[in-house]
Amino acid sequence: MEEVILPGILLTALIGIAYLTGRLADAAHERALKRDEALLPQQVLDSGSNIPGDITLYDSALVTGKVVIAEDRFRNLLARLRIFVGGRLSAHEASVTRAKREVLLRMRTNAKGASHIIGVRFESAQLRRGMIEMVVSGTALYTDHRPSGGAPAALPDEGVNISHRNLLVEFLSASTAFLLICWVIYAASGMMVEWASHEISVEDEIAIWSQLEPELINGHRTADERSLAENYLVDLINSVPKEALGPAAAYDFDVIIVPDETPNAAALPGGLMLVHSGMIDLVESENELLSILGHEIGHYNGRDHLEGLGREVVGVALSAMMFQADAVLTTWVAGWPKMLSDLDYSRSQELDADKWSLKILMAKYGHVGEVATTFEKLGQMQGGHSVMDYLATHPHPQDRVDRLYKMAREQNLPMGQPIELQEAFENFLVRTGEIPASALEEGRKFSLTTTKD
Amino acid sequence: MTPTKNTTAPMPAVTVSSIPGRETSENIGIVFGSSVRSRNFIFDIFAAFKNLFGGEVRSYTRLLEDAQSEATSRMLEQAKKLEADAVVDVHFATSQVAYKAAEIFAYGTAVRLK
Repeated sequence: MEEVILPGILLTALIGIAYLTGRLADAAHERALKRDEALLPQQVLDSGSNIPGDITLYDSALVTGKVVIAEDRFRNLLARLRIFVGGRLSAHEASVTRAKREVLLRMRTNAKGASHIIGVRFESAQLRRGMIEMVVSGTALYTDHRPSGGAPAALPDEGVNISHRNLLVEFLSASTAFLLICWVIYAASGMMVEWASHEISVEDEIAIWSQLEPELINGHRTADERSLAENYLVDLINSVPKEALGPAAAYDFDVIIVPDETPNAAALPGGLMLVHSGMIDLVESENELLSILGHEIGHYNGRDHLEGLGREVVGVALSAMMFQADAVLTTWVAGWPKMLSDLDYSRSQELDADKWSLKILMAKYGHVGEVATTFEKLGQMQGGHSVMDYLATHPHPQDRVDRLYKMAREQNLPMGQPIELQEAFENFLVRTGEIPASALEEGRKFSLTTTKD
Repeated sequence: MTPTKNTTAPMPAVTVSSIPGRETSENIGIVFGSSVRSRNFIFDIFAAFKNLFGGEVRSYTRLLEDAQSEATSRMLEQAKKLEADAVVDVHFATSQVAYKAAEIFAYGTAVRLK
C-alpha cells in the first residue's frame, strides 16, 4: 500500500504544481502576445510571393522568427492520456497556436521598418519531446508605403484554433476513459491468466521454475544453505502426511525467512515460500505457524500464486506499454497491478486457502487448535501501521477467524492443546543434532528469528 | 462582390496567388488554422503491426485527413471573421507535437476580391 500511496501523493503534488505553473506561464505569454501585437505597425503579410505593383521598392531582406516552448508536466500527462484514448489534443492546440503567434511577432519585430513581408513560410523543428518548436521566415519589403500604427488587421484569432475546454475537465474525461479501458484490458487478461494458471500442472511449474529459481532467489540467500530456522520450517511442512497436502505434495518445498517486520507470508512458484520474520515473531505455537504455512499451501493448490504472478506480469507489461518513455509514471503505475492482484487474491481465494489450513493441521496434530489464533492477533493489531499491508490485501481477520471456527464446528474438528513454538524448535535442533540435549538443560535459549548461520 | 460573411457558401481557398479569373483588391493578412489529433491505442497497435509488413496505414491516413480538413476549415473561419472573400497561397505544414499525435496546420493569405 505505502509504495503506491506515497509516490502517488508526491506525483499528484508535482503534477498539481506543474498545472499551476503551466497555466501561469500560459496566461503570461498570452498577455505579452496581446501587448506586443498591439504595438506592432500594421504590416501586410503574404504567404505568396507577389510583390505589390503600387509601391516603390527600396530594399528587401530575409527575416525570420523562431521559438521553442516547453510543455508543463500536466499537459504532457494529459496529452499522453489523450493519445491513448484518441481524439483532439486541445491542450496542445492552444500552445501551438501561441507558438505561431509568437514567431510571427518576432519576425515582424525583426522587420520593423518594412511595410510588407511576403513569401511567409512556417516550419516546425523537432528538438525533443515535450517541446513545441516553430520557425517562420519571409522576405521583408522596405517601400515608400509606410505601415500605419496600431493593431494589425489580420491577427490570428485564437478563438478559432482552440477547442474551448477547461483543461481540468479535459483531464477528468481523458483519465476516466483511460482507466475504463485499462480496467477492461486488465479484467480480460486476468481471465486469460486465470485460465492459463489452471492449465499449468504442478509438475510443469516445478520443471519451469527449476530453470529460473537459482537466479531469482540469489538476492535473498547468499549461500545455498538454509538457516536453522528455515530448516525447521521445511521440516515442519515435510512432517505433514503427504495425502493431506493435495496436489501441492509434488513440490519440494523451500522456505526463506525474509527480515521484515510486517507479519506476512507469500507463495512463490516452484514451491518456494517467503515468511516474514515479523510473522514468526507473532506466532507463539507450532500449530499457529503450520496454520499459516498450510494457508500458503492452499494457495498452491488453488494455483493462486501463478495467477497473482501472471496478473502482475500483465499489469507491468501494460503500464510499460502505455508510459514507456516516462520512468516515474511507469514505476508508479507498476505498483498498482501488484496491489490489484493482491486484492483479487484475497476475497475468494484466501478463504479457500484457509480450508487447507484446517485440513493440514488436522492431519498433522489430529486437532485444529490455534488454527485462527494468528488472525485473532492481527485483528487486535488492526490500526497499527505495521499490519497495514496484511490487512489491506486480505479479508478482515475477524471474518476469517469466525469462518474458520464455523468450518471447524461444522466438520466436528476437535480443538486440542498447541505445542509451544520455542519448545518445538529446540526439540527440532536436538533431534537433528544441531545442538546437544545438554545445551537446553544449561538454560541456553535459541530464538527462531535470530538463529541465522 | 458581396462579402461571403453570413453566407453558407464555402469560401474559395487556392494554393496559387490569386483565384483564377478573379482580381484581388486587398490583402488582409495571414490566416491560419491548426489541428492536433491522435488516434487511440488500438489503431496505434495496428499501425505498429503494419510497420512490420509495410503498406498504407489507413487509420493514420484518416487521422491526417481529419486533421487537415479541420485545420482548413479553421483557417477559413478566421478569414471569414476578417470579412475576407478568399484565401490564396495556401500552404500546409505538419509537425509532431507529441509522440503518436499529428499537428497539421494550414496557412494562407486572406484577400478581398474585386
